[in-house]
Amino acid sequence: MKRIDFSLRCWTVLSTVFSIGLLFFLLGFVFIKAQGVISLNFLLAKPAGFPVGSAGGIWPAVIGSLLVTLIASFFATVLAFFTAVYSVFYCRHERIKLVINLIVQCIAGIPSIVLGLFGYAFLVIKLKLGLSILASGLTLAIMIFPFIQIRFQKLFLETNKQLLEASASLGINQSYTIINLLIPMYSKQILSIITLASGFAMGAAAPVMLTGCMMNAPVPKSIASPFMSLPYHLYVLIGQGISLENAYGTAFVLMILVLLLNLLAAVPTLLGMRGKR
Amino acid sequence: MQIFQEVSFLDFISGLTWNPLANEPAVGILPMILATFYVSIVAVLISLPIGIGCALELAALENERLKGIFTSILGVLAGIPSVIYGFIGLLVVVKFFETTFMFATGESILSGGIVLAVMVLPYIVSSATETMEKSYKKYKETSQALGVSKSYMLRALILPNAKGAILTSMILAFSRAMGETMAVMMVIGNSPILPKLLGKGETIPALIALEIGTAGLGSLHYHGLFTAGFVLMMFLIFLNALFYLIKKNLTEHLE
Amino acid sequence: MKHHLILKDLSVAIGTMEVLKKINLAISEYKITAIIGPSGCGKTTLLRTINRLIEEEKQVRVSGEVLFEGESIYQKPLVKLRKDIGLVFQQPTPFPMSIYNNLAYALKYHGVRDKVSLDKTIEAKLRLCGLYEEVADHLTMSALKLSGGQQQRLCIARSLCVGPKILLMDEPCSSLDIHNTKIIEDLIVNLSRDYTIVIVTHNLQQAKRIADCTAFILGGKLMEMSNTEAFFTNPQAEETKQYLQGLFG
Repeated sequence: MKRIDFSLRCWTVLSTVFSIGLLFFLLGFVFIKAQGVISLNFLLAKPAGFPVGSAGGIWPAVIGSLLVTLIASFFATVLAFFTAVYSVFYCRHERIKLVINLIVQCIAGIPSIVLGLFGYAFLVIKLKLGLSILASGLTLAIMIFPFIQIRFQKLFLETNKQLLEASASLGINQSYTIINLLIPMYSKQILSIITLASGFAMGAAAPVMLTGCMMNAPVPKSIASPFMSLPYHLYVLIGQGISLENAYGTAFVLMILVLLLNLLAAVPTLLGMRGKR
Repeated sequence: MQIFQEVSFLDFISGLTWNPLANEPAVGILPMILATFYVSIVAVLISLPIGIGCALELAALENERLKGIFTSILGVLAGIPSVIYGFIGLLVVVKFFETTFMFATGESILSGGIVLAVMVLPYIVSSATETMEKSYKKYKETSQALGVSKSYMLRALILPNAKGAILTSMILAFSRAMGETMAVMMVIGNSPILPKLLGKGETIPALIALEIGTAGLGSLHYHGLFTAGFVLMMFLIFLNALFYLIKKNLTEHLE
Repeated sequence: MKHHLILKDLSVAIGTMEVLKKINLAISEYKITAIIGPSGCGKTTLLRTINRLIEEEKQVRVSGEVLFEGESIYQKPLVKLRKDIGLVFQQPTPFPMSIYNNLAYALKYHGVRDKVSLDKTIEAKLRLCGLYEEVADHLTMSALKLSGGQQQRLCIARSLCVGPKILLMDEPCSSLDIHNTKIIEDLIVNLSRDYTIVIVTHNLQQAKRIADCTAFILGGKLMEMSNTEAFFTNPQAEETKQYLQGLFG
C-alpha cells in the first residue's frame, strides 16, 4: 500500500516538475543561444545578404507581425462580441443558440492550415484581396474568433442576473445596459481575452504563409501589400538552412512578443486580485 | 470537389502514391492520413501519462497561489508559437537522434510525436485538471473524514473517477495534434511514403503547406490539396463535436 | 380614493406550474400595500408580472389583466412602463461603478444630460433616502464598498431617480439587520406621501408596522385583502387566521 502511494506521488510530482521545467528549458534555450545575435541593429534593420535573411535584421517582420495581429484581433473581437451578445441577450430560441454554439465549435476545430487554404481560395483569389496583410489578417481573425467568442459568452452568461433585472426595472433597454453597464464592468476581462487571443494570432505561421506572407518584403505601405511575419521568417530561415544565428534571434524576438502579450493579459486579473484582498 | 470527376473518393483516400505532377497523375493520400494519425497517436501516448500526473498534482494542490503560478505557466506553454516548438524540436530532438543514435537522419515520425507531445501537454493538463478539481473538491471532506491519506484518495477515488476527463483531454490533444502544421512539418521529414516510427513521413497539413504554393490554380494538384484539407477538417470537426458532447455530458453528471 | 393599479383575474403559469391563480387586487394611490404569504406562494412572481420582468423567463403564460392608471400594462411601451413602475430587489443590486454613476446611469438614459440637473436630482434623491450626509464626500467611491443597508437605500434612490409612480419592493429588508430595517421602514413610510408602494414581505410585524393595506396570498390565490388593522385584528378567511396564529403561536 505504502509503496504504491509513494510511487503515485513520485509520478505526479515528477510530471509536474517536468511540465513546469519545460517552459524554463524552452525559454532558456532560446535566450542563451540568441544572446550573440540580438542587438538594436538586428531588430531595426532590413533583412539582407544572399540568400535573403542570412544577414541584416528583421524589422519588416516585426512590423508585419504586429500589423497583421492588430487587424486580426480587431475583426475577430467585433465579430465575437456581437455573436456573444446576440446569443446571450437577444436570442430567444434555444435551437438557434445551439446552432450558433455548434458552428463556433466547428470553426474552433478547423486546423489552421485549412483556414489558410480557405483564406487563399476565398479571400485572396475570389475576393481579389491579393496576397496582402488584409487577407492574412482576416484569415487569422477567423482562427481566433472562436477563442474570443467562447470566452465572451462565458463571461456574459456568468453575469449576475439581478443586475440585468435591476437595470431593466429602471426602464432601460438592453443595448444601453450592455454598453453602459456590462462593458465597463467587464473591461478588464475583455481586454485580457483579446490580448491573449492576439498572442495566438501573432504566433501562427500556417495561415499567413498561404495568404500574404513573403520571404522578403519591405515594411508594408498599406493593408493591401504583402508583408513579412516573424513566425514565417523563422520557418524560412531554419527550413531552408539560411542562417541559424538569425533564426535564434528571430525566435527570441517572437517569443518575447508573445510572452509580453501573455503577461499583459495577466495584468488586469492580477490587479483585480489585489483589489479584492 | 471537382476532383472526384477524375478520381473516385475511395481511390483518393486509399491511394498509396501522391504524384500529381507526373504524366499519369496519382493522388492518393493514404500515406498522409496514416502519418497524421501515427504522429498524433505517438504524441498522445507520450504526453498522456505526464499530463495526467501533472493534472492530479494540480487538482490536489491546496496552495492556491502556487496553483495559480503553475496554471499560468501552462498557459504560456500553450501560447508559445508552434514555429518555435518546431525550431527547438529540430535543434534538440532531431539532433539528439542524429548524434546519440547515429541515425542517418533524425527527422522521423517519432521526432514529430515528441515535439507534438510537448505542444499538447498543456491542453491535456488544463482539460483534465478542470474536471479532477471538481471531483476532488466534492469528495475531499468525505474522504478525509474516513481517515484516508491524500494519495490513497487520488489513486482509489479521483483517478478512477476521472476516466471521462482523461478521455476528453485525449480527444482534445488528439485533435490539436492532427491539425498542427508548422512544428510537425519542420521535424518529420516530409516524404509521402507509408510512415514507420523511425522513418520519415508527411502529414496532411504539411502536405498542404508545402505544395499549395506550387500548385496551379484549378489543376488536379490544387483540387487534390483542397480535398485533402477537407478530409482533415472532417476528421477534426468530428473529434471536436465528440469532445463537446462528452464534456457537456460529464459536467452535467458532476453537478 | 383612486385605484392606481388594478389586477383582474390575473393568472401566471411558468412551465406546467400555475404560480398565480385568478388574482383580483386593487391598489390605492399613495398607500403602502403589503403582500404577505409563505415562501413560494407567488408573491415575487406577482411583482415581476406587474412590471413585466416575468417575460424575461422561459415558458411563461400570463392571462387576465393588469391596469395601470386605467390602462392595460401591455399597451404601454415596455420601457415607459418600467420607468413608471420601479422595482427594488431582495438583495441590494448596486452596479459595479461609483455611487454617483449608479444614480446617473438611468438618468442619462432617460435624457438628463447636463451636469447641473444631474447633480440636483441625484442630491435630492440621496437626501430623500437619508443617504446624502453619509456619502456626500465619497460620491466617486465604488458603490460596492457601501454597507448592505446603504446599498439597499442607494438602490431605492436609484429607482426613484427615474421618477416612478409606483414602487414595487420585493422583501427589501430581508437581508438587513434590525437597525437598517428600521431605517428603510421609515423611509418607505416617508415615500408613501409621493409614491404608491407595494411591498412583499414575509415579516408580519413589518406589514403591521408600515402597511395601510395587507393582502394575503396562499398557493397562488388571493385569500384576503383589507386594511391592515382589520386584517390583523379581525381576519375573515379561515386560512388567514391559521396563518397568523401559526406564526404568532
